[in-house]
Amino acid sequence: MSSVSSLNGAFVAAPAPAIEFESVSARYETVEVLHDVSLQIAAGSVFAVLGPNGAGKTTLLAVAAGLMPTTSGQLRITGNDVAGLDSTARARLGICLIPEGRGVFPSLTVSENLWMMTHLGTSRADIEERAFARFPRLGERRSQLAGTMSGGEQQMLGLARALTTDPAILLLDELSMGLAPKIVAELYDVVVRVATEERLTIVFVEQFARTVLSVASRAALLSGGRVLEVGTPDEIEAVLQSAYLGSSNHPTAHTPYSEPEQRLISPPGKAP
Amino acid sequence: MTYSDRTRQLDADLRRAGAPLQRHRRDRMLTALGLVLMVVGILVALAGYAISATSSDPLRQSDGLSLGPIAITLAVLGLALFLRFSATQFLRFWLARLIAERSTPWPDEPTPPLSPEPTTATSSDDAKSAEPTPGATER
Repeated sequence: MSSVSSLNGAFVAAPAPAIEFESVSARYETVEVLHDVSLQIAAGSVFAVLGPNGAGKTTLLAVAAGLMPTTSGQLRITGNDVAGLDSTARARLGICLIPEGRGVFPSLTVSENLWMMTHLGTSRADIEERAFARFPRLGERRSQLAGTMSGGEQQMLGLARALTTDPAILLLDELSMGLAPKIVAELYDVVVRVATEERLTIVFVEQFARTVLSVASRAALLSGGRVLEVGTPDEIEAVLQSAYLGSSNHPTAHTPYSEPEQRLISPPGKAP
Repeated sequence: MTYSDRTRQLDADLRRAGAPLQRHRRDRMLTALGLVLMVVGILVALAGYAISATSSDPLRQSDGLSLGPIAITLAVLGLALFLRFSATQFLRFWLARLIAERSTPWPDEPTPPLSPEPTTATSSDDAKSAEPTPGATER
């Protein structure tokens, strides 16, 4: 499915967005979390979804990954209605979600965690080769239990494992959660490099608003399960404060999104 | 902007998205078929026993007896189909759950005391990276 646009007088078919939410609503039992969400995420773009706690960001990713059904509206991927595809089918086709909390198996070694991805027919050696090429540190720790690694290394493992599946769409939920800024920067570097080289579509759900806005090509701001704003990172940054606090003229306004940045620049042991 | 090769492939796969659904439907049908074959096998075995036990005619008895191998074949075939298409899926989930349950290991192990703040590393993450501690519970 594609739209038609005019370019120098000639009509060319523009490809459909990689992900398109059209008036999507979703609920946990009786509680509706997403209300009539409409969003278009272009193929090959890095898209950030921001918003305060309870905005429905994680639910949005869960709906895209097929972990949650929609109660109304349509979800289209590359223009195709995917309502009939369950999460397993979507994962096999290349829609990959890295959940909040990294999703690694702590009682398995790094290699064993990577071998979990052999279900797509790729050999263990190939998977290890790809993962260790991107994250050499994991190669040094291939025999170590994942649960004994640092948070950053576990996130690396989660990311490496996802990238070995050769995804077309990567959904990242709170990549930076609980990690040191240095590690976050390292992970972002890898993600952005992969996105650029392989033109993956990447959707970030993040708390590190400024960091993610610096790498995103577009962003959306959610609050209370509704889309407040969609635009360029600059446009979104301008309205972040009011979204988090309800008013941009708040006298003590400092945005929660800025706290990680403050921690980032604070000397160790001192309050920001 | 055009699609990358991978996105084009995803698009093509999604256009053929009937395939995974059909596969899922086929798996469910084969599970049901396996169940039906198992039940039919048992019924045929019972029928064979009934035929051979209620007749004194050796020909009828041998008819009944000959149903035995057929019944066993049907039941085994049904069991194989059922296991292949249903129980394996259950066992896979069971295994995943087992691994997930073990993902909160060492519940009785005391939390290691906080180490003094490193002087060179920028965070506890980096400190751990330098010296992995077996049994540490951070995730």
